[in-house]
Amino acid sequence: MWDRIHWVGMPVLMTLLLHAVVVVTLLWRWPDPRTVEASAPPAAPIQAMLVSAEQLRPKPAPVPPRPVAPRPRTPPKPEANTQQRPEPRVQPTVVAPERVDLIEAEDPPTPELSEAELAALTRAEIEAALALDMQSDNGASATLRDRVSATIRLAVVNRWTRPPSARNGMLAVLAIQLVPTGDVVSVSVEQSSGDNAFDRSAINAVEKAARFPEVAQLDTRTFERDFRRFTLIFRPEDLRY
Amino acid sequence: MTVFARIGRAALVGAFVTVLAACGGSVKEDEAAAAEAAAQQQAAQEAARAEAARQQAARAREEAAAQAALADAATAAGTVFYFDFDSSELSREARAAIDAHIALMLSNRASARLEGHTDERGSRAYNQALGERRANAVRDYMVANGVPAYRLESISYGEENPVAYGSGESNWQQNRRVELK
Amino acid sequence: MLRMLKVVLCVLGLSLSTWASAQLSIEITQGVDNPTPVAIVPFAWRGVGAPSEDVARIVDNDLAHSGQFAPVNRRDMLSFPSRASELYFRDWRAISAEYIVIGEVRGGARIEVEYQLFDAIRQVKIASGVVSGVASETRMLGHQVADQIYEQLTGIPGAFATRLLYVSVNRNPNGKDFYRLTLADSDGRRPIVLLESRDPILSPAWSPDGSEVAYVSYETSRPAIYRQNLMTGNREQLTNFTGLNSSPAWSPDGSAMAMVLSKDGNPDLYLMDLATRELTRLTQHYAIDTEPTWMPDGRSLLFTSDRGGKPQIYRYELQTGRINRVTFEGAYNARARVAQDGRNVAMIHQSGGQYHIAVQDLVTDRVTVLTTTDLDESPTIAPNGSMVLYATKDGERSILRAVAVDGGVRFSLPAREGSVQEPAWSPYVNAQR
Repeated sequence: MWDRIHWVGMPVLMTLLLHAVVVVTLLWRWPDPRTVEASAPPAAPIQAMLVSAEQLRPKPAPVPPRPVAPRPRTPPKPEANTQQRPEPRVQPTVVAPERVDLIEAEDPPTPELSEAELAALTRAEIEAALALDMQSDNGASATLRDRVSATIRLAVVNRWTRPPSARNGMLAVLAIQLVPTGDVVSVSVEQSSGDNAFDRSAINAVEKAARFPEVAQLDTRTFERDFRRFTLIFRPEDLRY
Repeated sequence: MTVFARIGRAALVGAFVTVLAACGGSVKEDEAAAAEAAAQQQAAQEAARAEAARQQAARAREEAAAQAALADAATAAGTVFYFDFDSSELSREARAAIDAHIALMLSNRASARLEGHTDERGSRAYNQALGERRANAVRDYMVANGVPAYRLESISYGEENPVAYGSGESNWQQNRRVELK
Repeated sequence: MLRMLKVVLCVLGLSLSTWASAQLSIEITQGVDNPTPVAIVPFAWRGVGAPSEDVARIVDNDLAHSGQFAPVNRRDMLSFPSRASELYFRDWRAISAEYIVIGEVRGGARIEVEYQLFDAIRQVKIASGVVSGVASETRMLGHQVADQIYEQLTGIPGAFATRLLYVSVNRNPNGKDFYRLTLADSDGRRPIVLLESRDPILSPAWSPDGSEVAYVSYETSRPAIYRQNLMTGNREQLTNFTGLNSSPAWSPDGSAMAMVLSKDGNPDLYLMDLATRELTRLTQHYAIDTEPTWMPDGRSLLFTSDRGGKPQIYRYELQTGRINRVTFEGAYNARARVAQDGRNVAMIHQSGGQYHIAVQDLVTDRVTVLTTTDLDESPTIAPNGSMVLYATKDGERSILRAVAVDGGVRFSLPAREGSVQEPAWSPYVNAQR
């Protein structure tokens, strides 16, 4: 009797145990990596910004980036639109004081804010992003990934100067490689738009960013899974035509 | 020649001269009478002519006076007619002023040049056409009132040659005009 | 038992599958379009005698005026290389330059300008080139270098090595004003007087190959259309009709001239065959039809007409004679000029009681007002479609201003005494003078 249990029962038990482990592993709610629809609702100037510590000192209300989105949608108020552009933009110094860059690529790499503070600052941004991301509700891990994606997106948006040949609907896909410190080590064109100047403007935007400090705060698993290699899809929607 | 022949010739000549003298004498008398008559006639004619001339002068003086009056009226009315913005309609004042010029032109043979202008607002070529409309409006009014068309020329300068160079209505209204030259 | 089997089978199936590992993709749908910082290092002079022009400064001004670039101030430059071997990229990354232009100028009576263009971020040379010409054309050589660099970096040909026609008026308070038909470089420099008159000169226009100009002159005390050859200076009077003789516009193939005549009663569009002088009447309407301008394909004309009450832009198709209205926004639209792409039309547009320059997209019908100045007129578009030059009131005189078609940059041309009006931008030409 015991022999039978030993010979038949043990393997069955082991098999069942093994399968149970497999079942549990499969059915555990792993986060579902998916495309982050990080494009904010159109026409809304981005209000929340990730800032470094010294910029947290009292300053005027955040300056929205150049109102590129609203312009095509308000033809009845042309004077307002054109007045938002400053007179001859010859010197970069005229533009810089009005703009708060998300990531100061030239600064020394010291993460100055805790995750809680980061979360507080970018809550509005995340809410907007998450509103479009219905199925990911894996708590802290999903939020962190989305938040870092959002900061990467904003950093690139702030540095993307489209050439005059750019048109809405053009599409270029860049393959990006990072290292755990957040430095960009490789940028390559995975899918060209067909327009050299457009492709180069996209590459320039990433190379100007050069480094994404928030990536350094990711845990190893999230970094390896999502941020060591990822793609950037450049598809403008806010151009004149 | 013989002496006899010489005496004969002299006598003949003498008789001839005597006869002539006698005739001349009678012609002179006729002439005197005729001259007198003629002189009288001439005097009468001259008097008549003088009279006619006086009358003519009087008429001419009247005409001149009338013309001068018309010219004065025309001058008083001015040679510039003004218009409202974007319009080529003649105002009542403009018509009254043009009437004075019509009267003058009907009394003489002068020609006139009508130069149309606009203010600076809008495009130059469109304003050229608008200036022409204004000049033509004046021309058509004059023609309708009897001035022969061949004596009128209308030209447009559009926004060119303004009277006032600044902006604003006080300047613009001075430029919306037709000038008669 | 059966249920247990199902579970086991499902689990086995699941255990063989791996979940799809979708790579993270981030969408970038907006940009900020900051002007690109570019460092144009003063070019080295390796010629005979003294340099006549600061060529790098010409390139600098041209690129800045395009609105796409923010040239680096010379005071901020850490070094002044003129050869690749002298170039240290860290000097330029340190001041945030993204592109570097270095070059040299050589020669004496004949000048050669050689330039090299570098990408400061990737630290590679992108392009180089040499342009040459007589020394008196040094400024134009500088503009050609700017054109080439602009095209390298934006993909669009530059329009800096082009010319402008305009009318300059000097007021004479005691008599008649002086009018001068003037030819200058696209930056307003090096003006040459083509015609001087005590009577108005209007509507300057270019022939499609840039060798001739046409204009209206009142020198006979009536307006008439003339054409004049730039090389020889020969003039020819084309019209002598009663009434208006106005708005000459060469057809894109150069064979005909559209114009406005009122000899038949009111201003209408006519077409004159330049070879035969035969006139064809295009429009017949009691309204004012004026300011014809050609679409680049030569098959239709845009013109101004007040047949609807106030001036608007209409389109006349030459083949069919059909006329369609083009502008529906604003109470007053006039003086259309079409860009080479056949899509963007610049015009005088009244909005808010002021006269601005606006651009209408013929495909989407969207109207964008470009200027904030008032009493704007006479828009003219650069041959690459990127900039609009126009005249506007400045106190008691008229000046020229430029604005990018996307509204991104605005500047005035150097003012000179008197009034400057009715600019006309030249087409692309190979031989400039």
